[in-house]
Amino acid sequence: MADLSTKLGTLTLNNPIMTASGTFGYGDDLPDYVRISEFGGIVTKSLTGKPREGNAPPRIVETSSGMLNSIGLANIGVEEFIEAKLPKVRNQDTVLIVNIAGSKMEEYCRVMELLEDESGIDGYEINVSCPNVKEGGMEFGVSEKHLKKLISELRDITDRPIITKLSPNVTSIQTMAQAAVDAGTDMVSLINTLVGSRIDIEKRRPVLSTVFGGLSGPAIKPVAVAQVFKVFEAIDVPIIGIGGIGCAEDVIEFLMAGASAVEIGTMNYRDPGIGPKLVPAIDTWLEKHGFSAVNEIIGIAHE
Amino acid sequence: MSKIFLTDAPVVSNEEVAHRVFWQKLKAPEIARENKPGQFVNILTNPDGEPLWRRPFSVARISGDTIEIIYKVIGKGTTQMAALRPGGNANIIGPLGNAFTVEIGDRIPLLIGGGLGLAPLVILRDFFVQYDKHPVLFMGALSAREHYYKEDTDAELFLTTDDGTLGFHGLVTEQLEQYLADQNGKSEFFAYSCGPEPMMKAVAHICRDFGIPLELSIEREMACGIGLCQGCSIEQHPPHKKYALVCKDGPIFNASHLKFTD
Repeated sequence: MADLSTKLGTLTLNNPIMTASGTFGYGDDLPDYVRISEFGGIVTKSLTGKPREGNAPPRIVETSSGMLNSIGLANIGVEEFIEAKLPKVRNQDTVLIVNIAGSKMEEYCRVMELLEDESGIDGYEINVSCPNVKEGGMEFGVSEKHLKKLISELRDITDRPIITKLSPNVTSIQTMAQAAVDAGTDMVSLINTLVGSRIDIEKRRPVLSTVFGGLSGPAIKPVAVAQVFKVFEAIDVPIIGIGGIGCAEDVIEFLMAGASAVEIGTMNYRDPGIGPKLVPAIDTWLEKHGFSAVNEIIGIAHE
Repeated sequence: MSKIFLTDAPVVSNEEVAHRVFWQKLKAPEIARENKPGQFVNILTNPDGEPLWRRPFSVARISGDTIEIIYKVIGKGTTQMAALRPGGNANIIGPLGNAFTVEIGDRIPLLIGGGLGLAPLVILRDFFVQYDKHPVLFMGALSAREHYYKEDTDAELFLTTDDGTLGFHGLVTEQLEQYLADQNGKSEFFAYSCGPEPMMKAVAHICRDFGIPLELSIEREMACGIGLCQGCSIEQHPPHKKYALVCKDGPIFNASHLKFTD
């Protein structure tokens, strides 16, 4: 058996499979057959300072090899998470990453400060790239200056690992990645969804209530692989690859492009237990190709 | 979460029972055991590719260790489903969602279905017949060739078609209203409905006028069916939360909670 563990800075994951924020709830409310300890790590839904209802329906639509969503950060709020969810998901033999979102810098900071008082959290993923909320969040994802300021502020609050989740909806993702590194992020995850839309041709109107949504799923995988490849050459911190992953070969592809771990998102909707099912297939692939550890293939496509 | 199973269910049969309407039987003992009237299963119609999402279907009947679903061939997913033959498997997750209220005391159950909306009412009918509750069924369709539930020896059944080719010529809601007026308040009822939303809205107005509690089975496109994606939202009245999830808070709702029934 190959060594499937992987390092993300100071964190060690049993395997490179994580869940993408917003596709796995808070890790607690899943069918019995899904065991979170079988994931290398799980990432919670984005938490904001106050609970959010989300955008008006319709807020999802299927597309060719993908889907659009404009959920709008519907979530229970950080306080309810701490009270009702965290006790169920901490100490579960998996790396627990809490995803933080906000519309203002103060909100991100407040959410993190509340979480800092809690044990059992292994790190934070910072959502600066949600395309679906009008009043902000996204400004931090597309402006180098704002991103630096936000990550610096958060860096001052915590010693836990910070993962900055990058948007693909920018001119240069390498520049944004570098800005996050300069501000003290421990690693980056990419990509968040791409802005997209669908028109209902019978109604002659956009399908989504918000007109635009975030495109995810297998349709975006080549875009994500390209972005990971570019960012790997630009910075020296670990990368978590995200975008349409649905099989072991997809995982291998991201690792070779430079990711040290991956997050599975949209494909969790087909089967929330898909992540752990890929682990033995990754092992088989590595052995068959003469590798004894996951870390032997990270970034190998750049050699 | 409650007991939810992911299984490759062997296809027992898959027959066209009306124009483009199929009645499929799948062997799924665990789901058959746990499923309550109103719940649904989510079917992966093509494990190797498109479409991306599973397709949700109400469980329409349970017999022994098989579950039965009724679907109309409309798009890619249902076309793939119709091609399944005994010997094949369907990858399903279930049972999902909440269930109908079945503790209704001495009230008479009224089941009002339109088109494919009959599916969740058939299993409810079975339940009430089993407990001698004498349900009254109102089943509407566009025309005779779309009707797949034409007779019932154990329940009172009113059929309607929009074009008059079978049963009452008109809307299922017209016949419902007539029936209730004829009853003249002699009995107490509890109503259940599933079908196109304009129909359910009309049913909701009638039930409100006659003071009859009503539960609706709601259909929405779903990416996951288990509450993860938060996509299948439906707007509710206060004090209920603004957006309920059809997959998890539903698919069964008290009609008075939902905004579209206003």
